[in-house]
Amino acid sequence: MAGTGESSRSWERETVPMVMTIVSPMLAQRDVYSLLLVSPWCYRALLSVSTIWEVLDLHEMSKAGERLRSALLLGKVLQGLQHLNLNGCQKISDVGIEAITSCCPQLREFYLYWNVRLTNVGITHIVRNCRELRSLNLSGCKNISDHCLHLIGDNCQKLQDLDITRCTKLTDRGLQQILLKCSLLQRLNLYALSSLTDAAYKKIACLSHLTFLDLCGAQNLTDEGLSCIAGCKNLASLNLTWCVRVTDMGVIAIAEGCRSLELLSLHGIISVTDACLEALSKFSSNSLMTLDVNGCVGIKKRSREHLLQLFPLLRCFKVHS
Amino acid sequence: MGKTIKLISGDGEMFEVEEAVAFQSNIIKSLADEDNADDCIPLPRVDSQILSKVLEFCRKHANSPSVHTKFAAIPSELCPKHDGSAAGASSSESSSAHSETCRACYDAVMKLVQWDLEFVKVDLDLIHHLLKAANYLDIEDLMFMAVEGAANAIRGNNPEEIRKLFDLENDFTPEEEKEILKEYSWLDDPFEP
Repeated sequence: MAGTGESSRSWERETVPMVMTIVSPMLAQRDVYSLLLVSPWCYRALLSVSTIWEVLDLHEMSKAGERLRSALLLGKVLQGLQHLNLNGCQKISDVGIEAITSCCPQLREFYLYWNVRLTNVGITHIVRNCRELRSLNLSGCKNISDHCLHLIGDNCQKLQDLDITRCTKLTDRGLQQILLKCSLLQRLNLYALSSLTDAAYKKIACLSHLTFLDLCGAQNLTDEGLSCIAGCKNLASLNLTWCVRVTDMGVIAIAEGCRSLELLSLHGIISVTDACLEALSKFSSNSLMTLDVNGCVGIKKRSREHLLQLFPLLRCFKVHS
Repeated sequence: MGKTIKLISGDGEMFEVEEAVAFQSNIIKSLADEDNADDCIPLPRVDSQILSKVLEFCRKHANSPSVHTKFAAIPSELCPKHDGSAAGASSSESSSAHSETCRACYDAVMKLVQWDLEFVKVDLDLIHHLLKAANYLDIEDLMFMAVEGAANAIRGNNPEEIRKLFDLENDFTPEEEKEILKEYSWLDDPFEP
């Protein structure tokens, strides 16, 4: 509280900055900007709150490239950056990626959804500069090829989360590199990669820590491939939407192998029957909360009531729209 | 009243409160656990005005689960509409499943959050005292709400407005101000390079 002399100095130089440091991690970037300009003591205090400088979220913001350039002029401030969200920032090129990653060696989470300018060159900079990478979102980055996956496999051993949705240039060869070398992977998103085959899918079994797997659109996946995937005992979320070659055999293998399933989609698979649901119920009835069997015309007992009898914890009946 | 605890504020006033109320403070709880059955617990760093506000908050929260820090995952056993015999597992999945399906619990949580937001929508001087007290007494929910109260006051305001709220002068030189405005403009929305 303002007042005279001593207490007023203590208020502005200690108390208010203290409040600001506690509050700032909860604020949006533009509010942090306002706080920097409140007083010299707030400014100094905020620069030392490492958590606010660990996250930079520019997703879908205007002029993202210029913002980055501005931020990079302050080199030291972003040294501790751990999380960078450039989802939808379509104008950022390999050059921008090189600039930012060379300033941010501590980066752990890097999101680049829908960046079609990104090529193997950009990926090279990411993997060489950011040795702490845990989570990489390359969804929709159509121009990356198998060579990228070689680079990631060789350099990102700590990777836990990889999204390569719609990176349609990728083939079995590239994915195999990831599966063999990034053994700590917990989440893998292969949505809309319809040219992959069992040759790669079988090797998913190497990922013993896998909990989330999205194979939506994997039209070449067979029961043989799926039976290998059943070796990932910790799988909790499995999306098999439109995996049209899968039959009861593969799903039953999953049921027996993955006993803590929480989410499963069999959306659009016409060759599975009630038998696979019975098998799933035998092992995952106390964990399954989401089950999508829309379009599974081979399953006769598909009503909500029937499903709840098999899986009493079900709350959600739709994964794919 | 059930079992009570006596607390002495920094300015010598005595407050007698139920254990469930006082034990929201992890510090008071651990002090009471020692053999001080009849003694009073002194709290020299909290004066009576603030302590009474703190206890008002604790009274409201005494029989609710800690909602703010655990984001409304209510264990079934605390729900008035259930008999506590939830599907065996005490995993967080079944707790959040419970709170999402149980309207009664959801409504109770929302009412409590509303009350808390009103409670902290007070002058910032009080908020800073509450922050200090919550920190000193280790009361998680109060800490969370005091911080949220301060954050709400700050959000969307420009620096001059924030200075007014906190009763501060502008101690920057025009040059210093200009430099910070330029160097950190990338944080702003919209961005003028």
